[in-house]
Amino acid sequence: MDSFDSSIRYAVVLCGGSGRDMEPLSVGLPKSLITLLGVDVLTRILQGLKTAGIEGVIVVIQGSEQLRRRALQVGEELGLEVEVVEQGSLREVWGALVAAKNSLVGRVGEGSFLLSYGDIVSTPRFYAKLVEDSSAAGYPVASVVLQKDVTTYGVVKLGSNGAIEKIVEKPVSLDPNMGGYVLAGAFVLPTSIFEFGGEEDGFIGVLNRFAETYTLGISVWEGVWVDLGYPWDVLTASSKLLGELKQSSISIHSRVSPTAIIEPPVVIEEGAVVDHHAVIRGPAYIGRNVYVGTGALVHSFSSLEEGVSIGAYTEVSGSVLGPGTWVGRGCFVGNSVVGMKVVFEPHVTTLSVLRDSEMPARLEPTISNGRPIHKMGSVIGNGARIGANSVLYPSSRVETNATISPNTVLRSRV
Amino acid sequence: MCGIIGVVRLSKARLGQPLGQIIRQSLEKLEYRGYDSVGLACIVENELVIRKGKGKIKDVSVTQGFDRLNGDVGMGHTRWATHGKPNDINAHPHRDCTGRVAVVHNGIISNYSLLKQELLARGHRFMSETDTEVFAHLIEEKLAAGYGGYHAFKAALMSIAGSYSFLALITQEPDKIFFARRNSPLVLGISSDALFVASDIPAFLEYTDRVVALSDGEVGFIALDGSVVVEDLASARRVDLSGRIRKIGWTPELARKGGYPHYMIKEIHEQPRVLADTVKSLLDDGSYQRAAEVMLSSKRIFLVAAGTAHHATLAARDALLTLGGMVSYPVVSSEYALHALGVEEGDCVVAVSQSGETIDTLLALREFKERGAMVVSLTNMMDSAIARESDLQLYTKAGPEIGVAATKTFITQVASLVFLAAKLGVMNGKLREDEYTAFLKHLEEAPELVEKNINISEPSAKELARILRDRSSMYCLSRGLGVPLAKEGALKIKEVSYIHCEAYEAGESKHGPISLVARMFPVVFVASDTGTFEQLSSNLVEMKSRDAYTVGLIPAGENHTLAGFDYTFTLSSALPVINTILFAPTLQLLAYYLALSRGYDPDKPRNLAKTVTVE
Repeated sequence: MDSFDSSIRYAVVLCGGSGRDMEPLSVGLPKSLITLLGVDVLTRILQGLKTAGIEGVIVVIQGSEQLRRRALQVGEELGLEVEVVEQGSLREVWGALVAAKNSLVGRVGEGSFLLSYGDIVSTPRFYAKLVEDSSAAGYPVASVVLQKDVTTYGVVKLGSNGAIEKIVEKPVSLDPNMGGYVLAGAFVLPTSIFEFGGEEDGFIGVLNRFAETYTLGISVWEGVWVDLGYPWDVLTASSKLLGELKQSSISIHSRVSPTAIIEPPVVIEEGAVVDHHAVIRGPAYIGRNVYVGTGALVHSFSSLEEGVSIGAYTEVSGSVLGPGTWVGRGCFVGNSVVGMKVVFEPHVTTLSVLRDSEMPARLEPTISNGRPIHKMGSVIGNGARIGANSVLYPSSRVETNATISPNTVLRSRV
Repeated sequence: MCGIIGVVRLSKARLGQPLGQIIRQSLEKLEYRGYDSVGLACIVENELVIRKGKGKIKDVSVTQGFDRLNGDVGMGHTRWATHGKPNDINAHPHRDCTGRVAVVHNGIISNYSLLKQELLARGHRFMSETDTEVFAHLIEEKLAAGYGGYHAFKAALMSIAGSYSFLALITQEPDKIFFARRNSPLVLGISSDALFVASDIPAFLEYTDRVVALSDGEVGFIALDGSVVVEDLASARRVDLSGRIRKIGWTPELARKGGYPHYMIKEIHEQPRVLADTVKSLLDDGSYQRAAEVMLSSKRIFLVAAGTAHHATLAARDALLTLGGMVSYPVVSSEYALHALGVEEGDCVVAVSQSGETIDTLLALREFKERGAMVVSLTNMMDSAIARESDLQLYTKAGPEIGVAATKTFITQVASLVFLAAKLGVMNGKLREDEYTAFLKHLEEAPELVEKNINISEPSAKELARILRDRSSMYCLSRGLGVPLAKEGALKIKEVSYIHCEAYEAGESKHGPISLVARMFPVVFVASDTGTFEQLSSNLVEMKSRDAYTVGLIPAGENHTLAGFDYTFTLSSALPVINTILFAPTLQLLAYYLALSRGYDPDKPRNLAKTVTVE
């Protein structure tokens, strides 16, 4: 790499991988197609790349026809030139990148490209800042974010020149010699990166070798950023996106009862119905064709995706309900992640307050009354059915398509 | 307190972008000096083109099309309002009645209302409410009287009282930028591609690191033929610059954000490196020995500084007492007139200023010197006004600090002053050789420990900021050697997050301030002085019993009883005098993340500019 070309026109987005840690939400649905505030993760990424001035994107998948179709469709809608490449049996991040090598080198030659993981949730400026920082620095850069719990990430050690000295994957704790900046899953790299590793290498190993030889700078991102690794990351992502809402938007094609109480900021999409005496406290998202029953309470930081229905006097708090989920009357759903087309029979209760020692990795505490409290409700797989009057203990897990009988007390830990 | 930049382009081949763009980028590096309005002027085909407006540089630049403006001679200004509201009309540059003269100015013209009345009486029309505009009309009058451009500029200066650094463009001599300085900073940047004249070095660091710091009373011009002319205004004698050109060795990266969202956080992260540079220079520099000798032989020691540098001098006072057994008197620069009454022959004053241009400190220094005191200065800027006017110069090696909130200059100032105190202690027998050796070892290890403390504190500071973001008031308490840092921490929190934060000696709580403490009132304890932990423990209990939200900065691994905070930062530590350096970044990080979580830009706190060059 004699000179670094910082004009970036092409990107590679990695959407392969099994998403095992995301189960049961990822059973039958690739992570990149999880919907947040009405927009799936892949579409959000492609919109961000478009904002950053990217013209063409190579999307790497592993067998999912659903993803292939979606990538091409969104590409067409956004005016991005999208090519879908199959990862096949190549493994992990580096394998996925190697799968894209031929297409990529064919397009950019010895130039540079943007690489993004396909499970990153952020706001559109994320990629634009990365490209700007790389261009200002004149060398390759990795986007980094500050995390308190670093144990599930690749932590970067910065040298005295402010560039990356080395990367350590999934350390056991925050190391005072390393600090809390972790790789954010987006990079501007030259195609000469392929000289630093073979097909069987790990991506972090390759980056470390690259950083030993060349300057690999950082682009510190302070905005919304969530890596969808675990089911509760969906909650974090949804609440961070909701935290960005600055004003309400209520579709003229929705129907909101004059006795309903709406506290901004809220988004109420086309076809949604908010019935008499319902209360919606923003920030909250009410998707297309959602029904909010009489006297229901939707607390702040909740997202009801397309086609969700919640019955009379049900309370939803700090939760994400996936598309097509149906919640009967009188339920309480708190700090829970609910997949697609789940059924809650009437009077189901999810409990959510944890002991500090029970916190799952990287879940941020909720600030209540000025003090942090650890809350985690249930994770419920696509198509599950929870019987009437059941009680789900904090951080319970219900598998995809499982059926829980009425009056069950469930204590299965995620 | 404004930022000014003038550029004369010598080579279009090597410096090809439009001049407006070069000036705009330079102004962005000066935005820390003021940011309520901005403007530039270029000479295009022998005519003046002026574009300006209220607002941040990046916004005004777009609406006014700065980047499209071309030419080879131009100047720009970013303003921090002193006379006249920040608006489009009061933005610099200002012009005369004929449109042939444009001026930009940093400083205050103290006789402007008189001058303005006279000029109005003679038929001049004023556009703005600024003091600056009188200078454009004065030049106009001299031109009308038949003076050439440069002579008109110098003749007009003769009428001006007050402080200034001026740049002027005059269409009669369209190949030149005229400049003059009195009590406001101005430096020349010299390269074969372009000549620069600016308020501060970062403005042109992208292009050159060869600089000449101008002195008060100097006047001159830079021109398209590559000439740099400097004269002494009073004597009209040409100044020989050959010995004054310095290569400062700063790289352009130092004035960039390096991928960080703000200069403040970048500079917080630079601290281990600049502290190592400073500590190394302390050990190699004989000036500290001489400074210690001067201080030892003086009757009394005054420590003069403002803002963050004042807090560094408070740490110096404590170090002089504990390491050197000497009493000294910290003086807030703006209060110098009162304290000067007690200054006499044989006293010594240590003046501390990051920029070396802080006007209050400069005036204090002059007054104290006048009364016979020896002056030792500690600045971060070679050849700055304060350095030049002092008998002995000491320097921190912090590199350019662009964030308005001082961070890296604080810890390097403390390191230098504490080192000076230890030197003094050895010389007057208060510090044994083995104690001094142990002290040096701690100081040399400090950069590594600062790095660890930054790494361990940053994620927690961000989390704590989320918890405290909605508070309107808080306390920052300490005892003994920790008090100066508590004060500095409170200042950081105030200036960037706009949360009222008050620091005081923890023992004072019961004498009044504790009446404000109610449920969830945040109280930060700086526990850097191990000798005070017993008393600090009871101060903690009295806050907890009022249900305050308590935060502790405590040393790691110490066998102490100080515990039970709602939120704890456990930090690497050393001797208590050095802990001020080691613990400082944690409070800086808390201030930074409080600003972010409240939605403020920590690089541009409202109502503030970095270098205070007006009284």
